[in-house]
This record gives sequence, structure tokens and C-alpha cells, in this order.
Amino acid sequence: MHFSNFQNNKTMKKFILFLIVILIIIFPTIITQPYILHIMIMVFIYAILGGAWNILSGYAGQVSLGNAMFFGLGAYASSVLWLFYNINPWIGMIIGGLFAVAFGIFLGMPVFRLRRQYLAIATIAASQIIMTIFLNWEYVKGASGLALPLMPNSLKHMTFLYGKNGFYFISLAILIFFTFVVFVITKTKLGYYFRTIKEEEDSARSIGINTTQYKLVAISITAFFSAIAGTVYAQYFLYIDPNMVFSLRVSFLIVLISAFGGTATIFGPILGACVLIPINEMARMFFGGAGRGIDLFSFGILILVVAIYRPAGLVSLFYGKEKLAIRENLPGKDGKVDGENENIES
Amino acid sequence: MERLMAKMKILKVSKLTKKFAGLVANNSIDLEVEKGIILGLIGPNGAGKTTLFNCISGVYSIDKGNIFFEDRDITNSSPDQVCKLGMTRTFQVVKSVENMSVLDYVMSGAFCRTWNTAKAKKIALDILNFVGFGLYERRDYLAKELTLLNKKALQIASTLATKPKILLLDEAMAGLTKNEQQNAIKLIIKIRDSGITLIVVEHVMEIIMTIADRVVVLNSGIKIADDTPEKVSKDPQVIRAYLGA
Repeated sequence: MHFSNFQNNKTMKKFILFLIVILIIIFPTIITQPYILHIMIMVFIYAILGGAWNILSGYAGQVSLGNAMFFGLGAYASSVLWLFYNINPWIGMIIGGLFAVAFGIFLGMPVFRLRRQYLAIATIAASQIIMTIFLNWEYVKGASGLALPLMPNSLKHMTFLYGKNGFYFISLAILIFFTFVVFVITKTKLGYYFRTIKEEEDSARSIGINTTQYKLVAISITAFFSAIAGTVYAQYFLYIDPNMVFSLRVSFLIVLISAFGGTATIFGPILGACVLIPINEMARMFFGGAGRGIDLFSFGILILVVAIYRPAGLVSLFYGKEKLAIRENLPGKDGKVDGENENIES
Repeated sequence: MERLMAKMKILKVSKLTKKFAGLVANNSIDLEVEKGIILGLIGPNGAGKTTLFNCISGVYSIDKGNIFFEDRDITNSSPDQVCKLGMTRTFQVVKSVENMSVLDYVMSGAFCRTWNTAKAKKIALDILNFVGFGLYERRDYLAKELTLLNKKALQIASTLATKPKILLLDEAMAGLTKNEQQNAIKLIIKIRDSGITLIVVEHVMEIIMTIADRVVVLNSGIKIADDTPEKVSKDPQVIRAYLGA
């Protein structure tokens, strides 16, 4: 694949991005097959989840393999509030997000003492503990799950029983908003601090970065948006059980999406979701129960291919050459820079 | 000499003791640093110089004693708190960031004092210009693409970007050639002249003797001398410590 013709052309790139956004917005009016729209909704939800993972693990470098816990907590929080307390899902979505943030901070304070693989293992353990609790918790109906009430179609109750357009636009709007938030983060102090923490923690501390505090900020952002995706997911299916939202399969899928598309990039997780989620959904539709594992099997092959040919992720297809061009033209690459080793005026 | 007189003490260390499982790395060390000087900290291998740095900058918690920075008790503060107050350090072994560009890394330092990205960028560019060593021209390089000299300069640049009042340099010149050392010395003096107090740990004696206003000598965790370079170099205890006579 070659994208070199618009690589050095920023306006062209912006125009194409704009075109893609317009296309996605008018998409449901052109294609009305519910099953394709369903795939798109899942792509949007998983793009949010992958992007949220990317904040904590891609930018700040604290690899979590248990992100499904935030997703599930968000789904359960809004569902329980809606079902038992009659609190509107939109408000439940925010409360669920804040609840996930609180949980993330509670979890982060001890586990951020761990680094690298030990942190990853701790997050797996935490997500499994949460899942076991929910499987055995009478109040949330344990393994049999929660069925949400069927309400008439309305945006107010985040319920769209007929057609997929409602959830298509809700998840798309959240994805666009989230992408904007990530963009702002990368351009400001937070983004710079996250990247420094990822690189070297001792240096980070010596230049005034409270590493623990900023890791907690990172996990808060991750938890909040994962939980919001959880609420949308729960409202979309109107049914959740612990295996749907808390299982390791979800956690790993989130990581795969981000790693496949490109970690620490804005569009990487979106691209990853665009490729992996359709495979995931189609495998389920074509093979049903008989093809269990076909999706994971194909992910394995794709990840291998990407790891060999594009270790920085699929998104590097689009910017790879541009960055290389900068690298080649760096001043002083092959010789001395002006003023090098000359006397410094004292 | 006039630098030493009638100057405010920016850093005071009293009776600082640090033990590692029975080994006393720093034994009851007293230290006073006047504003605006270069304090040389020397001693044979294992004298406890780096340990003292780590204690002062908050990397280690100390067992006994107190540290005062501008009359504020900073004993057992964390490195980032110490940095926000205005004291920063570099590391002996270059703790290198790898995949961040020179400019981005120095900007992270500048964010210590501001939330504004444009302002941080301006501070970073000014600092890169100030530090020299071709870092300004190489601002788009990734840190891992730099030479050792440039990596060390980058470390100094990122710490300077936090606008410190006192800068602790841990063997900033180890591994450099003679020519590079001369340029590094000029940079250190330039930093001092811009109003920043420096504590410099160095192995190379000639360097310390030429730049330091005052020299503190450590041996086996104990302070054995604290005077001007000329007097210290004639101190029999110091000569014994270095030559083992």
C-alpha cells in the first residue's frame, strides 16, 4: 500500500479526514442493513475502549491487561441505577464513569508501585477478582445477568429498539469527542508528562513530575471513557452478564486493537478497531458456536504480520514515510552542527 | 573568595546520616551552600558522594539529620517536590529517555513551571540555545540518536528548564574527552553566572580545582575537608585519602 502521494500535503490529509468523517456520518442513510450497522457500532465502542487503554498504556506506558473491569463497571453501574433506582442512563453514564475513576484511583495507588509485567499481572488479577464478585453477587443477579427494561424509543432514555441509527450516532459522537480529548491531551502538559513517565521514571521525577499522581490521572481518564463505552454497550444490548463485559477476552481484545493499530497514536486504536472488530463480528455471524476461536486465530496471524512488518502498528503505514523524511533531513546528521565544539562565550 | 562572604545560605544539611544495612554511607555530614557559588564535592570511590546527592535530592530517605532549602525543611521530600521548590539534579549514569525528541524532553522540564504549551516551548528553545553543544540544531532528534556528550547536555538542559535555584551535577563530565570537558566547564560557569547555585561531583581533580569556589571532601562517608580549592589541595588528610599514604 502506498499513501506517499498525500504524505507531505497537510491540507490534502485534512481534506481526506474531513471526507471520511462526512462519509461516516451519512453512512446509515446509504447502507441500511442492520448487520453492517451493528458492526459499525461495535467498531465505535471498541475504538473508544482501545483509545482509552492507549492513554494509560500507550502514552503513559503503564500496561494494563484488565481494562475490561472499567468497561464492565460502567455497564453495571448505569444498568443497576436504571433498573433499581430509576436513574436516567445518561446520568448513570456519568455516575458510572466517576465510579470507575474512583475505582481506578483506588486500584492505582497500590498497583502503580509495580512496574512492567508485574503491573500487567496485577491488573489481570484485579479484573478477575471483579468478575468473580459480579458472578456471585446476588444483588446484580450473578451469572444470569441483568436485563434492562424495554422502554419506548427515545433519546432521553438512551433506548432505540427499532433500527440501529440511534446507537450508531451516540457511539460515533462519543468517539469523536473522545478523539478530540486525546488530541488535546497529546498537545498539552499531560501528554508530555505521560510520555516522559513512559520513558524513564527517575528522570521524570527529577524534572518535577510527580509520577504517581500523573499515573493516577492517566488511569482516571482511561477508566472514565471505558466506563462510558460500557454504558452505551449495556443500553445497546439491553442485557449484560459478567462474562460479556468483564472477561479476559474483552481485556485482551482492547489491547490487541490498540497494539495492532499503533500504540501512543491518536488514530491507531480507531484503525485497529476498524480491522479487528469486523473480523470478530463476522466470525461470530458466519461460524456461530461452531467457529469459536476462529476470530482469535485470525487476530494471532494479523498481529504476527504487523509485528514483523510494521512494529509501530498499522497506523505507521500512513505516517511512516513522512517521519522518515524528517529523520533524513536532520541538521548535523552526517557532520558537525554550526558552532559545535567552538568556544562557548562565558 | 568574595563570593563566600555575606551570602545567603541556600542549602543547609545538618548531621545527615544514611545507612545501607549496616554500612554507613553518609555519617553525620554537615554542609552549607551559599547562594551563587559552585561547590565541588570530591572524594575517592565509595566515599558517599552520590549517596549524599540522592539524599539531598530526595531519591533516598535519610536515617538521621535535616536538610533545609532556603530555610524550609525538605527532609525526606520526594524528588518532584524538591524540584518544584527549585532544586534539581542530574544522574551519574545517563538515565536516558529514548524515544522522545530533544525538544519534547526539555519541554517536559519546562512544564514544571507552566501549563502553557507555547510558553513551555519558548522556555525550552531558550534553554537549548543557552546550553549549546548543537542541541538547538538537533532539537528534533530522538534522545537515543544523540552522542554521550549530547545526552549529558540534554540532561542538563531538561533540568535547567525547570528553572532551578540550585543544580546538582553528578559527574557530568565523566567519559568526555579533554576538549569536551573544556566546553562543559564553560557551560557550568555560564550556568553559575546566570545566578544558579551548583553542587558539582567530579572525579577529575583539575576540573574541580579550576571551577569550584569551595570544595568539600568526603572519605568513607565522613566529611574530612571543607575549604577553598587551594587549601583543600594542601590538606594532609585529603592527600592521605587520595594517595592512601
